[in-house]
Amino acid sequence: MAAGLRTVILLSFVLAVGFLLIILSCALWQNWLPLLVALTFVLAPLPNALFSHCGSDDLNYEGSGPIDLGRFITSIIVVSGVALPIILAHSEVINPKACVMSIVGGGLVYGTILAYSAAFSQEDAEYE
Amino acid sequence: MSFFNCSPSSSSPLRIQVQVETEVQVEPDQNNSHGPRTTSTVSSPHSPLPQPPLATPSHLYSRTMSIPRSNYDPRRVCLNPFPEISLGKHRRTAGVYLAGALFALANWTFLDAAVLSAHAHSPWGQPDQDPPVHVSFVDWIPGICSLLGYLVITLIDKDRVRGDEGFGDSRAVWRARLFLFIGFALMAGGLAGSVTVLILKYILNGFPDQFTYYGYANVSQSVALMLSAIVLWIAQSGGSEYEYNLTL
Repeated sequence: MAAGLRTVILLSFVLAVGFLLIILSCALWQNWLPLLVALTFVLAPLPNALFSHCGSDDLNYEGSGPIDLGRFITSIIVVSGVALPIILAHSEVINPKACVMSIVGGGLVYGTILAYSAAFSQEDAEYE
Repeated sequence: MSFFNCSPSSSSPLRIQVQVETEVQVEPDQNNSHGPRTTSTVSSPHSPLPQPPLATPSHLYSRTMSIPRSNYDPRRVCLNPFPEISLGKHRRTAGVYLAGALFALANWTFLDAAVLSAHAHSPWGQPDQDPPVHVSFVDWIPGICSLLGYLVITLIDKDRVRGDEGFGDSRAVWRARLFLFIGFALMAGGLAGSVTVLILKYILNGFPDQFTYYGYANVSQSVALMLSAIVLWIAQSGGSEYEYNLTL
């Protein structure tokens, strides 16, 4: 239990650092467009979470069209989250440093979400 | 493997050999990702070959005919078989993720060109010199064609195209192939249109590289959309082959 608590605290710190980087990348240059990155990365695990319950069976690999759709949309959203600041920096709407900061922050946020869900599912499997 | 089990179990040592055989058969499914599958299946027919206890010739005949020999596989075409890259269970997942990433990359590449064109400004110190060309609706047409083709290809039922007998009628197969043709024609038309726009609008007019980039982004959008469709198709239609390997 202590290890789980430590994991949660660590993950929350990483999440806070990620949001700090994103907000800093917005606030330092008075340009709040990189905040879209945070929204994108927060929305990224949503399709997988929604569509994973539509699959009938884990052993059935063929009829999992909704799961595939969820993964497709997740992948699109993740790539969009990385590509959006690059494009904004390319057309000189935002500063290149803000682009790097927002990408790193978004990656931390998304990694936190992934690690959190993975840790919890593992604990559930261990518990049962 | 099925007729080993139904072979007459008159003598017990023959039974033990059958068990060894199943163990060898299961193994290549697990470490599929390490290399070509043929090397692992090569070992399977050889291991039970020293078989003095098999007295009846019918056993021998059936055993040698059942599994392709190591140096003669009737399904083989090339002299050196292709290294079969398959990630096993996760191949479909990885393929779908890769297809989604390519799809997003394609569209963001073109949107990059569009945003860049919208924010293009005159060079420093020359305020009266406007950028000579912008991304207009003509540049969007090939991308729209490719997206429509992508939609058509994705919505087709993969089993219909393969034309398996047993479900549906033959007209359904014919219609599915027609729709597949329309989808691929739309995608190819998008690719051709993007190349046309690149050549006619940007290269022939002799714009500098900064503006020719719009045309190249258009072409790469079409190419990446086509790659994404192919990857998605392969990932989604490869499941049956895996099942076949499992039930072999």
